[in-house]
Amino acid sequence: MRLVALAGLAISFAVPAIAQQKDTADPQLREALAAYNKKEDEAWNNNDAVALAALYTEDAVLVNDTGPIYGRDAIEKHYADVFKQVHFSNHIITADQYSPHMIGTAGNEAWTSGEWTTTLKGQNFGPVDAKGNWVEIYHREGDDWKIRLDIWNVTPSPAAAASPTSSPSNK
Amino acid sequence: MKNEPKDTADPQTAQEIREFSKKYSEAFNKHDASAQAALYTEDAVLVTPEGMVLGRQAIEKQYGDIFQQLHPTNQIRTVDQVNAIGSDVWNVGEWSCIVQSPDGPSPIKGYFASITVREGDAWKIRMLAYNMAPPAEAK
Repeated sequence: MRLVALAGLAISFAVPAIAQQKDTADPQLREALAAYNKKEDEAWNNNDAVALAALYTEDAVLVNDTGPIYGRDAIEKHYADVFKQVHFSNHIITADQYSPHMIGTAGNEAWTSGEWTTTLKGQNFGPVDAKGNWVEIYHREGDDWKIRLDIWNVTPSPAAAASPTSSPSNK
Repeated sequence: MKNEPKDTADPQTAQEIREFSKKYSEAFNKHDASAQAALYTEDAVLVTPEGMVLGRQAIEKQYGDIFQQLHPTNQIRTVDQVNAIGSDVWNVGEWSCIVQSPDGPSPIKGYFASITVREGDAWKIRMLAYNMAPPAEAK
């Protein structure tokens, strides 16, 4: 009886604490998602479109700088096309120190922002280093998390990189 | 079919988010950094190609700098897909505007994703990430 009462007391204290921290990084989730980011890096460095696409939900959205791609099948096809043209190595995804954050209150969705770096080698260019930023929204599927949204950009932005001397070629 | 963006949020919420997006462009086209920043939560994260900007105050300064340096005009945003998670929303879309370069007006465009949350009766941006499309290759 007393144990039950104590347990009740503990819960009543615990709830406000969780509510207060609902949007700050939970170390366990952070670790799980960091491991997930590592799987992404492995797929990139193996240039493996199937393994990479498998990390996305069926209804995922990949927001490239050429536009969004909807659905895992289309995402897999996109990566297969990319890997045919460009070889990636040293792909490293890093989450920022504030992530992850929860979305909604059910605890099934989280988002993380961070940076990426990689080396690209094409048939007629490279190897060249590239970097940028990304945001991913993850959806819990059983014990696993999958990418529901993935958006990335390149640093510096194409506009900042375009020097006045390169502009005449636009005409 | 699978490749078509489709809202998963209810139509009312989706419409509110699209109206909210218009407010965003209005503030942007007026070069009103404080009105722009007011559309963000206090703890918002803005992910630009140059990196992360943390908090409403820093975001206001960022927009002030953009308005001063690039004199952007004609910003148009289209929200392609609105998804709800509980009372929170995330959406995907595209943007375009004209910036002043040393050679004159130059059109730029890109894509964005954002998480929007309710604060009282208002929607506020908790996270906005955007990219910029590479310049079209001359043929």
